[in-house]
Amino acid sequence: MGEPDLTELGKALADLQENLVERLVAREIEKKRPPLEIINELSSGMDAVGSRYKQGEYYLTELLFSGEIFQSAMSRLKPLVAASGGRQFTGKLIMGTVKGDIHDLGKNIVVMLLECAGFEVIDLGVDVAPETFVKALQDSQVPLIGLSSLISTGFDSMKETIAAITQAGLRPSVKIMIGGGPTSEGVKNYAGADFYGPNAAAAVDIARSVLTGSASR
Amino acid sequence: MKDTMSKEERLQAVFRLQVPDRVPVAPLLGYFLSKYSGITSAELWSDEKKRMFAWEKFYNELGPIDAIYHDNSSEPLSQLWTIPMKTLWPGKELPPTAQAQQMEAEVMTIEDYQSLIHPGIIPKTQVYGIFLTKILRRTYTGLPQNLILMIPTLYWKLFLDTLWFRSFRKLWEKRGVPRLWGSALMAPFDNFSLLRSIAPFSRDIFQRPDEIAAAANACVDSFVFLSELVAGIIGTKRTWIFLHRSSNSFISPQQFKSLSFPSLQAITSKLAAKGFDLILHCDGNWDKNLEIMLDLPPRKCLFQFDGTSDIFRAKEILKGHSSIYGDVPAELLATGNPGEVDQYCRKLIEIVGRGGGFCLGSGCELAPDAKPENVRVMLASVKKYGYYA
Repeated sequence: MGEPDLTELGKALADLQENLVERLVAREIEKKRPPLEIINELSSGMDAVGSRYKQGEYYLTELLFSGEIFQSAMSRLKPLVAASGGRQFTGKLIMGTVKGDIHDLGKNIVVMLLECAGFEVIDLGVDVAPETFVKALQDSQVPLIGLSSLISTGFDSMKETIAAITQAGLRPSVKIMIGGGPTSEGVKNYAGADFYGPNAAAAVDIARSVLTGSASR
Repeated sequence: MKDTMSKEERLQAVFRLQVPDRVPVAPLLGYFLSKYSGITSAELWSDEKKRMFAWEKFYNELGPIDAIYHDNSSEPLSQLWTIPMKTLWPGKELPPTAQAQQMEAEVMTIEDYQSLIHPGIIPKTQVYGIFLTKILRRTYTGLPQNLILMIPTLYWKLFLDTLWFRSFRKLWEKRGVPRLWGSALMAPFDNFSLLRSIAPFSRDIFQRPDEIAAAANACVDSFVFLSELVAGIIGTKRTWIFLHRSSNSFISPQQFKSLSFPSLQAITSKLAAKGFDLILHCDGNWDKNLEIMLDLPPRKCLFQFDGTSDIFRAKEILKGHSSIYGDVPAELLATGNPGEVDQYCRKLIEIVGRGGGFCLGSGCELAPDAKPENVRVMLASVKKYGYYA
């Protein structure tokens, strides 16, 4: 999919012009534009970043920097959104690093990008036991769970987590994606997951396809 | 067919891009050693006798292999010296069978860049060492916090570690098994990325790129000094350079070229001029960083790939210039079957090993849950397929 048409603000974010984004957000706030409209422009900019990442123009560094610019802008807009009635999220999912693994870098990057893309994320943290995933799923009824691990001993933890979800009778109503350093399609099959995300942008695409039913932008 | 070279001769032929008698194999054993031998990870770190037992059991039952490498010692400082992050250890913060895990946090400040670029009275040969010491003071609580006590304590413990590595090297050399590398350090750019942590460092790349490059370059002479010192004590004139955050998994080839490569090129050139061979441990994807590697000293570098890069394309680009190591993936060894492992090793040997310049190995360290039968097949494949006619 190509890059969407961008406004000046969206393009500034896509081009990683941090100072320009800050000035334009301030300008739009001063003009009393509805904050959700400004957020939508920023989100389009993030979509363009994702597009450039998939095309190989941007790398993880650009993804992260764009996320920081976005979150900085959001810190100014969130109070205005709350005052105007709140923001509708595109969907909700659970994320966590599986039991035995305390690495959170990859998971945190994915969570940040998911939130930038408008998803609400229940982040269970690291070293998450299978039963904790099950309880969170029972409480939230989300349709998607993301399991992360940076070490190969995490493969079995992923498998055990999915087995626990199955045992709890929840498997038919949830899709499961995995990701992290040594994971692969083979590990996805081994663990019994539905999707494998080779990178953070792929995780957002999976979330979009599962939670909104739409293809990647 | 039979071996007609010593293991050291075979390794030298690989570095020189000459054709050895066969492809060597030298996996990075990691926690597979403890799992296979029935000891805990904590014992691998802390119990010298059990560690030796683990090596013997592995070598006698699954081996032989063509080189041993840096392994754990009783004092984790050598690992921390390479990667000075806050680390949780098996048997301490973690269960005894767990792997040591690093926690990424912002422990390097923006001011640290300037301290490297303008070190004041600190000699150039000490800049990187002092930087690592400063970071360790922030991340490791096992040393006195007072610098006047900390520095000699740290260096004494590192010296004892190095003596242990030397004795381990000599023990295995008596059996004809060389050590793959002597000294080991992380490349300065990669260390900055880990120690600033990824999000602030990503910001640094856009807000202060010149500072990153200058700080990395300021570490070159000290990196060379430390490598020479440690390798001299251990007795193996090969230096292992850990690279991951310089990969395309994190940064663009343009960023690699301008921010990381200059210091890497200077380090490898200076060490090569002193007679060192270099082992560049390239974790992550390096597909777009390969062409520029042709500017590194020829016939002196061995590139270790972890399964994320296209090792077959790497052979096309680096052949005639540098040798390659790898890259049987952790996932294949843990979840695959012996037939699949045999097939992949054969492919590596026949394609990447064509004409020499290849050492078979694991993609980074062997996972503790690698199936022993798969490891056995990997090690045996060099004698099954790896003899050059």
